Amino acid sequence: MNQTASQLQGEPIPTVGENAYRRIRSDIIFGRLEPGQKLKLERLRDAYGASISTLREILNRLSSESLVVAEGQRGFEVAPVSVENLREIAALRLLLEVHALEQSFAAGDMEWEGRVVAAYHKLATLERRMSDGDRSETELWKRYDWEFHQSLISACGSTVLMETHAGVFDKYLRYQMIALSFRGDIAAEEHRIMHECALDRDARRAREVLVRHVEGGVEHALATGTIR
Amino acid sequence: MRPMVLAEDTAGEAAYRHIRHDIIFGKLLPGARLKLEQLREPYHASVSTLREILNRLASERLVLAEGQRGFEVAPVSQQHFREVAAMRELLEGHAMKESFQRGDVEWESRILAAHHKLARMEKRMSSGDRNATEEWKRYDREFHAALIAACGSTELMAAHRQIFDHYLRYQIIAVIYRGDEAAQEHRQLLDYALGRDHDAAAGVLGQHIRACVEHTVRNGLLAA
Repeated sequence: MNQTASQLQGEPIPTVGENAYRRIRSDIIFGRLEPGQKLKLERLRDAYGASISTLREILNRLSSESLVVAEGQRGFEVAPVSVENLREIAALRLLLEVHALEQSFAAGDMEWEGRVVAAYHKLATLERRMSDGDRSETELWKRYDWEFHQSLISACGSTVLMETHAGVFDKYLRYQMIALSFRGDIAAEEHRIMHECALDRDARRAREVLVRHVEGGVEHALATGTIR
Repeated sequence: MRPMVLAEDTAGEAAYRHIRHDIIFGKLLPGARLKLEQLREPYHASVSTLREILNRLASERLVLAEGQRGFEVAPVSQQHFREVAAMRELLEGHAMKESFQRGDVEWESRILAAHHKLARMEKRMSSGDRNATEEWKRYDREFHAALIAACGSTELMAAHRQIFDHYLRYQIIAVIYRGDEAAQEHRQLLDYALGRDHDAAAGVLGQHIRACVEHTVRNGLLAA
């Protein structure tokens, strides 16, 4: 399990370069490649099985997504993290997700309700396990969290909006993986309310809860002291 | 300017920017097949570099990757244009609000300068001179970028830049020139920015963007 938000949406494209790109991207988002870590082409070649020239283009591509920083002659490194950047990403996530949520609640049909209920069930199950102290499936939990939020906005009617949101969500997820902060019952309760609001088409309340949810998540992550 | 990079690096980056520019400015047409062999010469890059460049453009949705079957320039549609336009309005409207609140006198002078250049180009366009369409579009972008430059979020500006490129592509492909009406709206945006009237500016921006979409649809410039 190492798919990221934007990859879950795309079609699989089976080329060596594309595979390496996805693996490196996923390793950055899930923290296996750490913020600020130097990315040496030689070493990446062995780990990801792509040629140096392919890897160079992959890193250029990741730098246009701001997940990698290109430093001219000195090579590449994993983009650093900062409090400021986390706040910017959280604000952008909220801007996009609140807007999409409203559109989605207005247009959502029974199929959409089914997707929300199914995604909520999986997330709630994992949250109960986490709450009982089982931390063995953190990545799966985060994936279900993403799938739940994605299901809520999935009837918004705009693939452009969904894709932009997915890209921002991945960056948000990266911070969550670094802080590894589990807010426990508070976040679980917020998910429960949002799921109810969806079925009641109560966009106003869902919006309030989502704002609290993201802002609470940011403060909790910052309180761990892992992001400076 | 970016710092100098390795020779090979520069070639890949330069080819990427060149192809990207040609897609946005309609030199590579929507739906056109992109054969790696044929791109090698005009863009001075190897087949393996080109493959990664096209994958990169595919993740920006400017190119369509068809698995093993190759690549084509992303098609255009009314639906997609509407989505892009709505997205631009959402991002730019929000960014203008933040920017109007934070902007200082430096920012004011930047938007005045940007508007001055744009207004000059608009006058040339208005008198029938269409030689400088790319330049005009560049000044249009610079003015809108200046309006949001004080928003305080590099992430928001980056997301806006990306969506603006898609929007620009539609403007170029559909040859959108609304003449004095758009020039008027730019003038209003400038006045509202200096007056820090975000609500009024958001209203004008919405009208500015929607009029552009309707102009395209009305004139049958895009297939549904």
